[in-house]
Amino acid sequence: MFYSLDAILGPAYFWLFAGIATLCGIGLLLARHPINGAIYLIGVMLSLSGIYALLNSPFLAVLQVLVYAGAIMMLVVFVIMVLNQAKEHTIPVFDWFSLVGLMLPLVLGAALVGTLSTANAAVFRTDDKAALITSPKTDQGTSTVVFAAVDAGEGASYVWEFGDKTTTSGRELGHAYAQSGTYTAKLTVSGAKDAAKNGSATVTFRAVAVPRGEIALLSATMFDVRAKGPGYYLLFELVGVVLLASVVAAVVLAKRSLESAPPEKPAHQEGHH
Amino acid sequence: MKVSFELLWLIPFLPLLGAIINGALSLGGARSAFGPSRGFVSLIAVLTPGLAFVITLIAAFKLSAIPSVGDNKVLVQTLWEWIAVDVAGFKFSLTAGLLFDKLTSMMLLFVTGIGTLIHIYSIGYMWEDRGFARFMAYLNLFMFSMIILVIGDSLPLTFLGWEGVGMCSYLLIGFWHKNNEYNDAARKAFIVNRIGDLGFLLGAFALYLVMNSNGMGSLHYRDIANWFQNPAHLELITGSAGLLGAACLLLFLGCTGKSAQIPLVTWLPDAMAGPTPVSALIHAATMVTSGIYLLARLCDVFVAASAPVFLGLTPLDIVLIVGCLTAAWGAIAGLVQLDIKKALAYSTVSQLGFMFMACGVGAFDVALFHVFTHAFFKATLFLAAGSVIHGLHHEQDMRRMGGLAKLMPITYAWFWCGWFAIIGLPGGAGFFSKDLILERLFDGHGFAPFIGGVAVAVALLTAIYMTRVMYLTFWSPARHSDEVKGHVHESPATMLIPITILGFGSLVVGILWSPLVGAIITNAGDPGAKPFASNAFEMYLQPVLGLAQAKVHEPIKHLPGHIAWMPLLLGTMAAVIGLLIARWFWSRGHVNSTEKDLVGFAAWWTWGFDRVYLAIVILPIKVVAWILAWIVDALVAGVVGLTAEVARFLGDGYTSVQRPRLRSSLALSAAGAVGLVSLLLLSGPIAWVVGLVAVGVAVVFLLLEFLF
Amino acid sequence: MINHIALVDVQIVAAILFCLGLAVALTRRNVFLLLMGIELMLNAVNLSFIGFSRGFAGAESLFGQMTPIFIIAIAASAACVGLAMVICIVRGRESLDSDAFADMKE
Repeated sequence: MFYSLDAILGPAYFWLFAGIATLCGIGLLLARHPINGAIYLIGVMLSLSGIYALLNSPFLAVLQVLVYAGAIMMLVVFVIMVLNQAKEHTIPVFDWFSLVGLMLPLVLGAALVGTLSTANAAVFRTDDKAALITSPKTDQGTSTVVFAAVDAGEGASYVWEFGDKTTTSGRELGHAYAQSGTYTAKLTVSGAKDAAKNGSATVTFRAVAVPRGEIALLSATMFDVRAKGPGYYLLFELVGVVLLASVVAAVVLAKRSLESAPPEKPAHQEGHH
Repeated sequence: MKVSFELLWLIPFLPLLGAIINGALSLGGARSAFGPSRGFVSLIAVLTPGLAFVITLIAAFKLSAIPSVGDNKVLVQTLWEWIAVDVAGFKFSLTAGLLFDKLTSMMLLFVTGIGTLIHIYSIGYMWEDRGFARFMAYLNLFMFSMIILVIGDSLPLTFLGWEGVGMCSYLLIGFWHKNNEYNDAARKAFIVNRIGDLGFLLGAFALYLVMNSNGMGSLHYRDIANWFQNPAHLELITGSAGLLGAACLLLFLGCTGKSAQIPLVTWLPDAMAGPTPVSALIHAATMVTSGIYLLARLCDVFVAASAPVFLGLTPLDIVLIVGCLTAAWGAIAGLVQLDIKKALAYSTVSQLGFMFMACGVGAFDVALFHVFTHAFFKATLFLAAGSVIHGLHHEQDMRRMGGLAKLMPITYAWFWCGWFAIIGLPGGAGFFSKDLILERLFDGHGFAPFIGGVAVAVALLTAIYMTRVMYLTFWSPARHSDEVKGHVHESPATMLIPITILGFGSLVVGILWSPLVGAIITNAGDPGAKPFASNAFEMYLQPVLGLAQAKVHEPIKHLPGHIAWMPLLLGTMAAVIGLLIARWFWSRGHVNSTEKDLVGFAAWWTWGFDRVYLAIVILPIKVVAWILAWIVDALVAGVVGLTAEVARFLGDGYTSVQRPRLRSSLALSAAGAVGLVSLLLLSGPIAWVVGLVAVGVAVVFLLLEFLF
Repeated sequence: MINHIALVDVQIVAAILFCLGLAVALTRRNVFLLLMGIELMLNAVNLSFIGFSRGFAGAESLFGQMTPIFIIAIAASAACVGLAMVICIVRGRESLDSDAFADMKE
């Protein structure tokens, strides 16, 4: 039964985990108390572990749970608890200073997401010393590099060699590069009425082909503990959830016992070094 | 005729070996209280020059035994290929070799002989000194350098010895280096010598260029002599007259440096700061004579430079005048000295002036004869003076001497012999050599007879000041200081024996060139030669110097008449009159000065040159040094300091920002990273947007920091 | 599209998480939250590496698997050291506010 849902389950699982991770991240951003933030961070790590499993990286998924969510976050939680006892924690979540600081991640995020979803071929560092060619540039939304020759008048013919063993003629055209690398494109102009505009020129540039590949996911075997193959990821996820629950429980219990205990007067100061 | 003698290298090598051994012993014993075994050190120190002397004798006999075919016979030994340059069409090659001709043998015989005697003397003189081994090592090193100077067959090899004797002179003058005045004297000697060395080098280069005008440039003495003696090169010589004259003047500058002539004269009196054996060996007998040796060696060159170079004077004329001025200056200075060693030092300067006067009229053999006799009697005088100083417990001021004729008879006897020789009374060695100089001067061209008259006056002064020394030291009543009174003693045998030998020599060596002795000495082992006439010395050096001298004047063949007798008469009269004048002034031993050092005219005359140097040379150098120091301090250090200040300002700048929040530091670095990556690595509009926003955020953060 | 996810989508998720982590690190005053923001950024980077490793074939994919292992180890050490420093500094100041650490130069 699960197999038939395979087709949409894979991406669905992925977006589920991604969504949980994002929400926990926002929770971390807005958390009032560090221990809350720790719990949210554990949530992020566990969901990322799930994504690693989906992406066929079993070792890393396991490592993520054991080391990251397990050891590191335990350490963080422990230290928070140790230092929390004697110190006050009335630090405001945001101040106006933070607003300025938010600008950078916002812009960066927008730029990254925008770039990732749209642009395809980035042209890096052209050495343009030819007078006959204007700089090649990217065509937004496609994977082509646009070449333009300076107009040499009537009757001129333009022959382009693109450096990846293809040749075309035309004054302005685009060419898609299959692989990233440094290419030297050569333009030959002939037949122009003004003899000075005849000749050939080269331009060297770097084209980057952003891979637009697809990744196969391993969703089907995740819940199938009886099948061959790595089916025990789910167990790890369960272990992680148990972990998370225990941390939450510990926190809640500690809070309760602190609130019910009589207020101690801080007899000895610990900051005497 | 050239014969190879394979033992020649031992002559310089043996003293070098002695120096190395003694030096090693001295260094090894540096920590101990008494130093290495003095007996062993003395043995090495005396044996090595002694053996060198023996080998020199053997070589001299071998040289005489070569069947003479009329030309200059030599013993040679080629050591190794020293310089071989072939670059961009310029070829130069030089072999290091040893040349033992008659000139060399004459110089070497007395250098090694007197050197050995003074080594023996030093044993007694320096026995109590903690630096005994070091002294002996330096003395041996000096012997090595001097021998190389004389026996080398090319100008560079001689220069090696030249520099070596300069260095050893420095080491030995400043031997008691705990005393700063002695160190100053040593430094002065070295630096003044260096100026002469520069002249030597430049002169050698110019000489090479002159000879290279027909491609036969060489720095070997035999090649130089052959080139300049070749009549076919006469046009070349006149063609490069200017260069040749410059070469001669520069070489003469080197000679003035080494032989303490004007203008490089001031170091020699100060060099008396060294121990007395040093003064005797270096500054009387050997090192200071290397200037005359160089002139004699290059006699063909100097004689060929017959074109006027300066005010119508040829280089030899300039040599003559400089010699004359120096002789006069030294004699007057010697007259007013209070220290016995200083008096003898100025006497040396004056006598060297005589030698250069002889060279100036082209009488090189006469000059060398005076070198020879002067070595004997001056060494005697110095060693005896050392004995006097030793006997008076290191008293050097003549005002506190006197009456020593009875108290130190042996020393007195030999000092008397030296005095007798230097005054020029008939019979002493100095009589013959000085007489010959006067003879040559009066016989010379141009203004030479006038110089001869000055020379007679200087001889008079010589008699006066030397007799003054005799009176003040020996013949006048005793004026000893209190701690010395009654404790005056004669010196030990190790000191007296060399004095005896040298004193005897100063009486006797005049035989070698005297018209009074007949043809007694024949040339041993050379049946073809004529029996020696009484001018053995002259004939001995004839093959080497004869051609050059013949160009300047006809060989004097004992001309009868007033030419031959006048100098004799004048010289003797000068000696006697000088003696009487000195007797009149100083027979009581009275000196008109109670100051610690020289005052008045004496000080002005003695230190005149030093003051001139101070004004002309030292003060400008000090001014330049001060300016440069200011430039370095103000500008260079200022610039460096400015850089440091800028760095500090930039570095501290950010820390001066108020209350840097952790968050803002983080934000700035994040913004910087993002900005850099996007602006530098990416392209396209996105990159600019991101980059500029990042920079904007960073700027805003900084502003916020400043404001809050 | 069957059982596939686009590589770019993985990268977009990673980018969003990275920016979230950066926001946490830059805006929160509590030192623990600062450290947690850094951990979040490192996690996002891990995701990005693994995404790329799956997007290429052959040897390149190994790099994308190896690097997250290093990053996890380094993040662990960074967390340890950071926490130790926090303990030391906070002891003297009695405050978890990072703005209170600004008196460093005194």
